Amino acid sequence: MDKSEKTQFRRERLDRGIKARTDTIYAIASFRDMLYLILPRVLPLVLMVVLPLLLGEYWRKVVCYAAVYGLLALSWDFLGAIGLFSLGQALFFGVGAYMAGALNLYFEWPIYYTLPAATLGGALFCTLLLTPVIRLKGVYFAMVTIVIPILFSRTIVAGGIFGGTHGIVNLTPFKSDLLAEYLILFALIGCLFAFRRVIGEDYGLVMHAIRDDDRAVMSAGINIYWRKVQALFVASAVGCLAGAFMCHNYQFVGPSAFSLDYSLLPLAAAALGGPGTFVGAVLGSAILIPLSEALRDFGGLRMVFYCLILIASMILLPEGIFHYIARKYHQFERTVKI
Amino acid sequence: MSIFIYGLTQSVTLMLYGYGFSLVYGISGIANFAHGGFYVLGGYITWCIINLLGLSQFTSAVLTVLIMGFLGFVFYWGILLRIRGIILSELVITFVAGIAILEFLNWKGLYGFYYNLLPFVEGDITVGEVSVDYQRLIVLCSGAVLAGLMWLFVHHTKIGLSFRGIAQEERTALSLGIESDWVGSLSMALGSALAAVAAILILPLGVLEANVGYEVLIYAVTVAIVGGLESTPGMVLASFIIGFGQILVAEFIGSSWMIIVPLATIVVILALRPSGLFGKFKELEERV
Amino acid sequence: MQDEVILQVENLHKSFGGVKATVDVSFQLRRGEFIGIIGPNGSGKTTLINLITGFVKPDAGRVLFKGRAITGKMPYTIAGLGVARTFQMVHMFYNLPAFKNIIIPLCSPRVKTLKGGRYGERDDIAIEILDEYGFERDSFIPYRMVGSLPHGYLKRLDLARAMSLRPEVLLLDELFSGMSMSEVAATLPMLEKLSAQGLSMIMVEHRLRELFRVVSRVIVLNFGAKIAEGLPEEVMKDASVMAAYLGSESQYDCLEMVPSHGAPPPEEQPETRPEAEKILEVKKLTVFFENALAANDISLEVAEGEIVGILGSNSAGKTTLMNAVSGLILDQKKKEDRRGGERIEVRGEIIFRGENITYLKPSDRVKKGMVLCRERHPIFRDSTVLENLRIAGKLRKRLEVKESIAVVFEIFPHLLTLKKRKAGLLSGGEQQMLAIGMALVTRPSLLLLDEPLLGLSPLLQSEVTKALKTISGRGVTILVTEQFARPLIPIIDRGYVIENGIIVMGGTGRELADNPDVRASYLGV
Repeated sequence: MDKSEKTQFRRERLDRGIKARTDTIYAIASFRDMLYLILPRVLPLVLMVVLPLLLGEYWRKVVCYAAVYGLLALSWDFLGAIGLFSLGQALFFGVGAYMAGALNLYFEWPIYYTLPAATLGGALFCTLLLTPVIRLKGVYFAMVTIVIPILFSRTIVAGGIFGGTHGIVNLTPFKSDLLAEYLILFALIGCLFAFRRVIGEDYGLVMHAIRDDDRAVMSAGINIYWRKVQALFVASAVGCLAGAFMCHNYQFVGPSAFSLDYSLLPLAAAALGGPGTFVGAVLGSAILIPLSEALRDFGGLRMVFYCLILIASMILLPEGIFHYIARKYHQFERTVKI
Repeated sequence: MSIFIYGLTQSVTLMLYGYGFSLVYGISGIANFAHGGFYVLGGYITWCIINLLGLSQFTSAVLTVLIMGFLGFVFYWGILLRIRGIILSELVITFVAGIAILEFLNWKGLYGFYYNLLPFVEGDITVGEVSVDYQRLIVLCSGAVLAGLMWLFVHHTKIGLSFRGIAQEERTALSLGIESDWVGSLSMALGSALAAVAAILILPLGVLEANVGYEVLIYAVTVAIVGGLESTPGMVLASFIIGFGQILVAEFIGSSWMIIVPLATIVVILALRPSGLFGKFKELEERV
Repeated sequence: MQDEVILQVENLHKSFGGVKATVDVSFQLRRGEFIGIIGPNGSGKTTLINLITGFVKPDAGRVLFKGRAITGKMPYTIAGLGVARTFQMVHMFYNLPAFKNIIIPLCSPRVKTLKGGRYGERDDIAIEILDEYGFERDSFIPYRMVGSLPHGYLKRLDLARAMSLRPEVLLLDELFSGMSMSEVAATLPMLEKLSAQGLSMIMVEHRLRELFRVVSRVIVLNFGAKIAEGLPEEVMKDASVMAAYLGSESQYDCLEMVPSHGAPPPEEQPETRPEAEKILEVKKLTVFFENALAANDISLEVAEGEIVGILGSNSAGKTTLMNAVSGLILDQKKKEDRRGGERIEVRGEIIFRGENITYLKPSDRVKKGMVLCRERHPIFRDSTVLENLRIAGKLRKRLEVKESIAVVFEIFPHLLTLKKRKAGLLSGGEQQMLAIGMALVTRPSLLLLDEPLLGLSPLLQSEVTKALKTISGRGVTILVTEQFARPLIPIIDRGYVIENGIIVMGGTGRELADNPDVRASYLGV
């Protein structure tokens, strides 16, 4: 009898005072409150403008790569929001890269034509390819996205098309490095803000609803398959843009554009940063890419490393770093008597 | 005639690749994308036991299957358990684990022609006008036997039945006292053991290379897509279609084009019958 | 009022595997009519709604809406044309506030064409719509997470969601199931108002008394076919309807509480033997889901050989209680902890045959002789009936299992004919019998049942009740929860009443049956 009467404790989470205060219009009254609200939004913008100017050439390249992978991770996150889990972002990347490269080489289109053409054309191609799988269970989508990039790259090598193993070389570069960097960073931040906006709107509400219970959404008169196709188009456009960019950045595109790297890293980045948050995707890339550069000496072991990070973050911190930070920013925990 | 023999072998090979994958999915509901990794790992462990410990082929084979079974069990228990039910994590973690295994082995040097598993029986026999090595025949027979054993297992043994229970309705199985954790781990153990068996049988026909793992994964996934994930007969039929297709292409067009067949088959199936040959099309049925 | 036929169903046929779910069903719905569809469980009522609304494609036959064929079109197309439905199993987004659930239909093309559902306005429109269905505009209720709302609210939310599409035809699938008396009383006027406004409605229901108050015509289904159609009073007197649906031996009495279904008269009811051992004791059980109390200081006891009932409406805490006693809640807790979801805390003690099993795994509890039969037919749909029973026997020895299965077939002879049938194709009543059978295979000494009678026709309810009595006669102690508990009253030795996670009353079966509050809330008087 005594044991069950001992006072027992329970942890609970409460919003911080400043969060509650800043939820209303009176936030304008206090400078500190305003800062609390504005800081998370303005910080990425500031970074975007400032970083290319501050860093040296090597690290500027790293920021470039991080932005490219960030775009791929954002694309992945967007698909995930509607319930399509892709294990093959490399598909979008490779298609975009090859399309830009082919247009540049065979038709001699300049960059400001190839980029949009590869983005939209690649998106169209990928959407058409993947649409049949949309009606099936989620695991089919995952399987198809794993298999098709690999098969594409093997086909290119076997058939010797699009330059075969050697790929297409001597493509047009960007007019200046700085232009390229600002372009990709602008695309990244633009995508980030756009996606976050969309998710916050009713469109995003429907996306999440489709992910959670598509039958209920169907009975509400919404064509879920059309919505999924839309999401696929947008996500593949973003991925193709990333591919097209890299193609001109390297002035080269080869079968390696379909390599697992481009599927795995965005996944790891989004998982680490926090799936479904979009900011997490960018955050994750910002962490992983510089890390991967630092680990360059380890060669193939790097991949193993990303894999382990991914597994660890999915198990230990499934909500991702961004959620964790946001939670700490907005809430605090305490122990309470029952 | 040679087309027939080689086609048959290729098909059974594909079937063996696909078995572990599709069985694990059918039982535990998890698509094990680490299947390719387990395959190569199984081969590597066999090689190690034979060449570093000097044991006989048979002993190494048995040991490897046991070890791989154990590893599969631990993989499920230690990692997958924690994320069961979260679809995203399930998909990603197996995928990534497979890559980790393969890239690690790559880094250790498992490429090129250095590593080799010897066939069980050297030599060949002549069937018709074609000489077929014994190893290929062994693969053929073992494949058939394995298929039969698996069917019996899943439909008639207690463990097999509880596998299916867990796959369908986890909480009900739980409330009846079936421990989903235990059963899930067993199914993964079975899956990786099957991968090891496939590796031991098939690797002697080729080279032990880490990149073979990606091939195996592609083929396993392809036959699952083409045949229909939940259907073992479908998977078997798909292996035969793709297997013979590949041999025909190799014969008449060129062996480097063999890889086109899986891709083409997937595209065709997606266009005509997305849920696979025998796949149950996802009907919006609600019967309560 | 026009006599225009707004919905026409012609010769619909549908089979699932070998089971004929719908057999040559035809009827017409005129504009402004409110008709009801009744029938025993498994008679194909829900399938019919699924066929009309596009969730299932018919094998043969046509469905015409305003003269145009809509047979086999996608559900969202049909909804977009103006045919809305509610679901028997509530399909809601539990992690969203109530009003956001309404916004989703407001995003559909149909509403966009009907009214300017523009960004920003939708929130207000949603709140307004909810107000009409019992979610007071100025209260917190529309903003609460759906997961935290009582069951009756969920059903009305489903109704509001269907109506936000501004349909011309509304199909209601067992709207009242799971609702308490007061919730039904609150909902009926809403339906009457909708009908008065000219909405054409079809309502599938089991609760006949409430249904007959609002519908003008009734269609009766049995085994997939239409066996009667007409005014409620006519139909209820039809001999074939009575035989099929009501059971020839019992009187379905809408007006009086009569101990029925072959129960022993009250004087013969066994009293609790005072020396009987306590097989189960629950002491001060408290369960938290994040900050919400699902069970609050619950204490109860069950003596060996008894049949104890727990009465409570949905979200009163019955299922939480059962999950805690059976151990399933530990598994839930483990999963939520892993994925960082809501925190589940369990305090208190559960004692089985004198042993403290509060932290024991479910499988160990089954080994000790306590098993739970969860709510809503917990069976393995893709396996056959026999396989289901075998799976359930995993923990026992082979011979024991064979014996147990034979016993199950004795108690439920109907299942014997269905041995090789895929469990997913059985009717609701058959599935429930199978579920109970599966629990029996584990050879329990204490059988826990969570709402075994939910969704069953009166005839099947009485069969299941009789089976429970037989099971008890074989020495199995039974603890059963129910919401609409009238059929159980004759067999219950003792009972408790639970509300909002608290036990508010306890007593013998007779005491509870005589208590006016209990009669009003749980016995349908």
